[in-house]
Amino acid sequence: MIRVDNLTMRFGGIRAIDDCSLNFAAGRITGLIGPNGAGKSTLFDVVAGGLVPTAGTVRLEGEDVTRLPAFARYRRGLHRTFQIAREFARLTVRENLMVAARGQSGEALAAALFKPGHVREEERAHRERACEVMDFLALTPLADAPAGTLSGGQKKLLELGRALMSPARIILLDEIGAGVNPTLLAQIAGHIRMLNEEGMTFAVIEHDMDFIAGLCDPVIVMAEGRVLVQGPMAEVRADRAVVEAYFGSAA
Amino acid sequence: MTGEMQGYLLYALSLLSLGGIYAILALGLNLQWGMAGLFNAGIAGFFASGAYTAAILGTPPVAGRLGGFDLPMPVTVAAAALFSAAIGWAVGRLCIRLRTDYLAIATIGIAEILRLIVRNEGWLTGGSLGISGIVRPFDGLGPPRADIGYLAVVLGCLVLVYIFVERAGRSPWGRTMRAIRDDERAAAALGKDVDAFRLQAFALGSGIMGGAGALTAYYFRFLSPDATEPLLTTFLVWVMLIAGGSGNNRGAILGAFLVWTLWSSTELVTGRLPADWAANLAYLRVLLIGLLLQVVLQRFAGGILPERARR
Repeated sequence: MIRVDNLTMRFGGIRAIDDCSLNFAAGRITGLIGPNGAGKSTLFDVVAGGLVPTAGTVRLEGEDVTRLPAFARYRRGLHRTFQIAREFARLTVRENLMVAARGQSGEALAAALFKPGHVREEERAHRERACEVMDFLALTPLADAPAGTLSGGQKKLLELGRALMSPARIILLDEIGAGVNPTLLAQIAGHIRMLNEEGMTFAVIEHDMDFIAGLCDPVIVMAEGRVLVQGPMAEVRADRAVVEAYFGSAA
Repeated sequence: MTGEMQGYLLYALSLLSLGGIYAILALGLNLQWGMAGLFNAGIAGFFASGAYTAAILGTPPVAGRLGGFDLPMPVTVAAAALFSAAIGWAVGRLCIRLRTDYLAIATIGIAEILRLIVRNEGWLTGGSLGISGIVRPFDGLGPPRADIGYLAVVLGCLVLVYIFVERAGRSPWGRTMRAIRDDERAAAALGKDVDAFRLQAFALGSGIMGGAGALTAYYFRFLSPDATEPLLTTFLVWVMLIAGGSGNNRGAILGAFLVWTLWSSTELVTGRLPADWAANLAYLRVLLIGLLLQVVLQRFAGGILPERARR
């Protein structure tokens, strides 16, 4: 589904990603873990088109998208959420969701002004979908609140909500669990599993190991910008190199 | 009607006509800044290019200057809007990727280039002599009917522009534009072609400013290079939008009428002072407007009519 080969991302003297190659396989939920600063979110940025890598390639379903802008990758079916929520602060929660919907002919000004009937139909569908998403994420009471007034956890839910608005082929979730209560997080995991069974591919960055263990196969461990280990969670947990990456090699 | 009464009537008509033109300018800026977050510091340039387009197309032939097409007003105003939009589009193509502050500098530069062209290219603009002989549509009626007729033209244009920006703003197009304004990276991650949207907002806003310029040329029946001075357009229009409420079209209109009333009524005072005083007090007006902005923003952080959440 997504393949990166020999990827390097340098910021000044720092190599955030260092000759890294990996693969998010179609139909799987791939977990991406590793200590802070391992390069996980930077990898998502490069994959989603927020950053152009120093070297290496990104492929989306075989197509080289390394230099394709972010919006074009979205249109090829990729959706990513941000580690630090990037809400549209002065738009309401409902608008934040509706703006994320795919298939908006009303974004062309001529259609918006001269084909009001058709656009209204689409808007009704998007509005209904936004209501479902808000219900699921317990955001309904905040539907008309400007997103800038939400708490940190609510903003993370809104990030996830935008991903749920329209079917994507692959969704990159960057720490959607941070600041979200455990009951809701379990429901979210269930929902991700359901979407996955319907054929959606996921890549998930998370620090909550139980969340990763329950959801992801395979799991990729990154450290210092490279892939350290990958495989099923049980194997990864037992790996000595992983323990050292997290806790240091004092032993 | 007594002479004095007619004097007041004409003053009120003038106030409302120019207030209406400023309201159109403020709506154009609100489209660029309030909705799309584009900092245009060169309003004077787009305003003047529209004004000169209308003047060149709408006047009878004059020796030594391009023009003399003598076209009717609806055609010249539309052409002015189109021409300013085209300049906005061309400028946008070059500068739209720049961050807010750099875009501001670039637009100031463009406005200065246009100002110098207007001052120096006499074959095109009449140079410092300007362009005279612009005839308003209802001029045959004589005052005050001619002025009432022109006020109706201005307010008609204002209503049309208002309906356009409101409908555009409420549409998915406007929602996406505001999303880009709030966070362009997130918008790009949601498949929005940020540059293309911004370019549209910039060109449309510039076109509206050009249309306002055309209305101004007809209003004064005469156009001189003073039309390119940033004080009376760029500066005042920004104050109008910020005081009235950026992001809110009604706020933009309210701010325009309010600030213009204040600005032109201080002219009544300065106009009656001895000449050497009046020269100094002209600067005091700018100070007064700055003071007004301070007071408004202390009381209403988002302007008098701030941007509302949309349901």
